[in-house]
Amino acid sequence: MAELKRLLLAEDNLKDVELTLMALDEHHLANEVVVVNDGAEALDYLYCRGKFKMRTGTHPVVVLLDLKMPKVDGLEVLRTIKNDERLKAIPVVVLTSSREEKDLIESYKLGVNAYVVKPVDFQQFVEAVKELGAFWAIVNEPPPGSVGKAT
Amino acid sequence: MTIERKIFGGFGLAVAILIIAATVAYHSAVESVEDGHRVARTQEVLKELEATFLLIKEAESGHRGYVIAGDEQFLKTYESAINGVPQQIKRVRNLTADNPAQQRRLAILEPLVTALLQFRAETIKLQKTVGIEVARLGIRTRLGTRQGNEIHKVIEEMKGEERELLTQRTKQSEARAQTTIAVIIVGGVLSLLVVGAASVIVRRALILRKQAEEERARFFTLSRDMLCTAGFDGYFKDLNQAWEKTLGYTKAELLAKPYIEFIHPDDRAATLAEADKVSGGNTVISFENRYRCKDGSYRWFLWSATPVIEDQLAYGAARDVTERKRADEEIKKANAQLEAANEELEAFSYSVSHDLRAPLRHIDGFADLLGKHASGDIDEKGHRYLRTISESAKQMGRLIDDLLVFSRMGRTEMHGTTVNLEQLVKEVVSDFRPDTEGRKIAWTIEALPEVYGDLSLLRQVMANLIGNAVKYTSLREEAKIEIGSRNGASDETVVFVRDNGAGFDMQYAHKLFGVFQRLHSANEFEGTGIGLANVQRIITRHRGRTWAEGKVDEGATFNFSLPHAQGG
Repeated sequence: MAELKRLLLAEDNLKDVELTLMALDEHHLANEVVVVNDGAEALDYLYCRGKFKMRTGTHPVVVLLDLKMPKVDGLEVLRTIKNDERLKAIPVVVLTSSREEKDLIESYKLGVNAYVVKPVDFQQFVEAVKELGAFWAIVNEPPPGSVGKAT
Repeated sequence: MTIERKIFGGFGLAVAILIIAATVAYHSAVESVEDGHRVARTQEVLKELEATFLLIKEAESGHRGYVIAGDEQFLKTYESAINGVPQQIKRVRNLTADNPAQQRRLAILEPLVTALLQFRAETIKLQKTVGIEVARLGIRTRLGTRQGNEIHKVIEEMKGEERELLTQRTKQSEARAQTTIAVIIVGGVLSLLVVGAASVIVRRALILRKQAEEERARFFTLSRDMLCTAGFDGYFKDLNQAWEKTLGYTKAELLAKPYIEFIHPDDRAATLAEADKVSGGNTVISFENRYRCKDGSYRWFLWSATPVIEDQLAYGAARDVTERKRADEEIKKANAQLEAANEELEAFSYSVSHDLRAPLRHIDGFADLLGKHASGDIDEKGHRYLRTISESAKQMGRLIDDLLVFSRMGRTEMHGTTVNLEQLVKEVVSDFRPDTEGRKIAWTIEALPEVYGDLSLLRQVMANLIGNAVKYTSLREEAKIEIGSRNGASDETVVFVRDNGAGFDMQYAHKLFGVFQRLHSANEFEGTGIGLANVQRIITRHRGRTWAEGKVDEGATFNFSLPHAQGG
């Protein structure tokens, strides 16, 4: 099974997943998203192991990463990605409810590519996610080795 | 010069004077004895000379008697005298052996005597053989008389010499005796003086020492700290009363056992190590150990100790720090609790930040989606309900955000710098331009001083106060907002923001700065009621004060003070 999807969304809250996909669908990107529900799964996906053993070894064009997740949290996932020569080129965007300064500082220290706080206001949230998806999946040139643009 | 040196020098001087006086006196005494001998000899010489003269005279008169009277009795007298003369002259010679002048005179005397005696012997022979007449003739010859006169003269000379000597020697002896007495008196008086002076110094030193000892004893007794001397053998040598009061043992009990036995078993190794340091010549400060009281409890002692190696003794002073330790423990415990509470608060605010906002987003999101999804099936009333749901969710989101800002305000670190308040106020005012477009506001910004504080926090203060002024004058046709400063009562700067807006009732003034306290409903003026609470929190952290004056419908003045001194 070759999943040639281009965005990895790591988010444990299914309602947030639904709302995020809703927002991404405004640019018809919803079908290009792989959803994992915790940090461990996210790493499994990136390392093609566990239930993602069979997938091809291409990287997503962007990882949308929630911070507070079961098992392995977002900062741990970020640290693993940025400390691994093979993965560190993958753009990572933290998409979180946390406005805590220490999370911000820690994320930037680890080399996050963007940090977005999810607004409570749904309209603003939709705008933010829409723009994020459009920028990373459409506007931005991903590093070599990522899944190419959908045709 | 130290007292010891003075005393030592004084006694040394006295001893030296006495030795000199004694030496001089000894020599004088020896000389006096010699003088005595000499005087005695002179007197003896005189006596012997007299005896010699008498013998010669006796011989003469015996001779004359015999020659004139022819009495044999006179002859006997003459002979016994004549036989004694050479013996007598020899004695005089021996006695005057050390006097050449006398010897010379003797040398003259002797032949004269010999000649005279020879002459007399001849006349006696004549008298015996020839007869008395011839002998009588011989007596009358001048020869005999002249010789007798010569002899008398020489002997008188010799006696004169000896008398002269006697006078001289007596004088010399007297002079020497006087000198000796003078030396002894002067030496004695001098050494008495010196010894007297030395003993005054000693007495004074003893008094000082006694005073010092009394003083020490008084402090020793008064001290609340435990004072002691302890031998390097591990026993206390002396203790003050504080020991008895603190531990409950008697002094005798404490002196009876090695001190280590009074120390908590867990502290013994450390105590022995410290004692080793002290007996090795080191001074120990701030060592702590526990001593057992008579009732079995333990007290913490804070020690300082110093050794006197030559006495094999350590001087120690210990303070009972049990209460302080207990207080420290309590503070530590309280701190740990506070830290735990802070951590909880942090975790709480983190979860508020993260977890409470998510459901609100979902409520808003799904209400919106529902509105879109079922737009045909819901009437206007239904849409209003959905809008209310969304609004409420957003409002709660704002409240949460404000609360988080407020809670963070108390925790974030402050970075103090010099802040140009006037420039800051102008920037803040210009930030409000977009919100005040179309409104008529008369701004009065006085010259404002530089203050010391955290720039971004002070910006929040000014933004809050100016924002409030803008908000609460929104119903005025012409708003007046005035920002100024004055020097406060004591070293502080007071800054105020005055407006002619809605104002407030002074009886609620105390509620103004409370969290989520509002004096106006959300219908009148929007807001969550966190702004002034933040202002107060920031100013308090700057060690300043906040207060406000107002009158309903006439306006309000908000003041805060900042201390002049740097810090905080």
